[in-house]
Amino acid sequence: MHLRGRPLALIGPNGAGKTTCVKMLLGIHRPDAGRIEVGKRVFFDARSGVNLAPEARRIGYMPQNYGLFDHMSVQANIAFGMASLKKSKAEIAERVQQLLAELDISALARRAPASLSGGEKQRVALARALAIDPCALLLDEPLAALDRGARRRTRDYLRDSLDRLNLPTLLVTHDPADVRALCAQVVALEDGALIQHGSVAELERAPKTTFLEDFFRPDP
Amino acid sequence: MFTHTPKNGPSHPANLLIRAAAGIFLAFLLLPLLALGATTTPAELFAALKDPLVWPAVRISILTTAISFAITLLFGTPLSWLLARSRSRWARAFESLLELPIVLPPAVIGVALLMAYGRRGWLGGFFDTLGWSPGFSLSAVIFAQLVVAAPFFIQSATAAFRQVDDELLIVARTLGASPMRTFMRVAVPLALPGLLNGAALMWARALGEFGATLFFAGNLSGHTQTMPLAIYSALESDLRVAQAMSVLLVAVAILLLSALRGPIAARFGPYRPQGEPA
Repeated sequence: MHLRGRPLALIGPNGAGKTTCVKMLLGIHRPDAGRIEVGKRVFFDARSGVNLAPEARRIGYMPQNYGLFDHMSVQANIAFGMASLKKSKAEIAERVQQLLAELDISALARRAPASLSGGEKQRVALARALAIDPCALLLDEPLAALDRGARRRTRDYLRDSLDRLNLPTLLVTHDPADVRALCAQVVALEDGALIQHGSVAELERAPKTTFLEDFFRPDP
Repeated sequence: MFTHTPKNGPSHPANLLIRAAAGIFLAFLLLPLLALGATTTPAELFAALKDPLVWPAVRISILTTAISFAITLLFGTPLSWLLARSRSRWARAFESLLELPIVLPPAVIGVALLMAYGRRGWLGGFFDTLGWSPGFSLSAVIFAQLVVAAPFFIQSATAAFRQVDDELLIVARTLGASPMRTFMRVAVPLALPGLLNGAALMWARALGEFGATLFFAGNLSGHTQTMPLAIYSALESDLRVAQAMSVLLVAVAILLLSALRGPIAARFGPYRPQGEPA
């Protein structure tokens, strides 16, 4: 898989191996073979035995239900990554304020994550991921937990954010609308194997499996 | 047309029967505690507490349970974490084995301790070479408390750690946290209610330990006589002293359980900004 330009969508039926793929990229599971690198940084290389621990990879990860720490405030959540990286208190506070402003959630700074709406949680999760100055973004079904209306609004917001950030981004999704709105390239997995990859237009035009056919079939 | 008789009305015979039965059982269970305090006066209690049996026993109980508590938290927490996260058959087996001390009669555990750590026990020879005999000493009291009470903590802590969402731990790692920092800053706080509950149960059980202590540590006043053992001895000489110590134990137990579940739980519980409802 090569990410370049706009986000890459990772799609496939349940059990295809998307989660395993994500965990390998994050460094939670160790692949049997192959190579993972971002820019000039090699995260994993089976041949040379390189296997960087998750905390060293600096991938901005947003799990499916946003994974906010309920026992901390919103701003403590955002600050969590920086505290791990041993930054000074002043630096951390400044960056947190900056991110809160950028994502328009300054009012939520002292709120408890459990009290936030889905869309708000998503912004906090994004802010938290960005706080570590990631080299890439990995979003796991970022809109799945939202209701329809929120999903549409947040999708637009997410598209603008991702455009602005211009980071290599992998987006795992079950929703064709996400793919069309947010991604330029698609990788499709089935039964643990890569079935097809290419631009959204290519897969729409010539899907190779029934799953992909159904996936890209326009809504009636 | 029908007339409808509500079957769930509070005056329905079945309901009355259930409530009566529940009430009788509740009264039966709570009566002894009430009788403990109601059949004496504060003056009598204070006088009885001056008996020479009392304060050595209080001192030994406090000292030994404090040590057992600390050891259980220190060693039991990582053990519970490993058991919770492990998927191996060994972990499952150990978890089951650790339930045994909870269900076995304390007397059995006392005998078992003698067989393991006593003078003529399995490790007796080994301890001899170290010039140390744990049996019938303060160490023995601590040993007994640990074996009997630690499993309560481990069970509760393991269940609590098991419930921590894996996803959160993964996120923490991706945010740059080492496994240790992830454990301390994410896993422990999230598991805290279960940890505190287990700690409270463990401490209460250790404080009340009698059978295993009697067999392994003996009932030596001023040396190994904990409060439960002192109460036992007092029963043979002065019932009032036994009663006074019992009331004391109940009071201390209530205080400590309230502290663990009240202020301490609030201090370490889920984040709640000022003014937001619990």
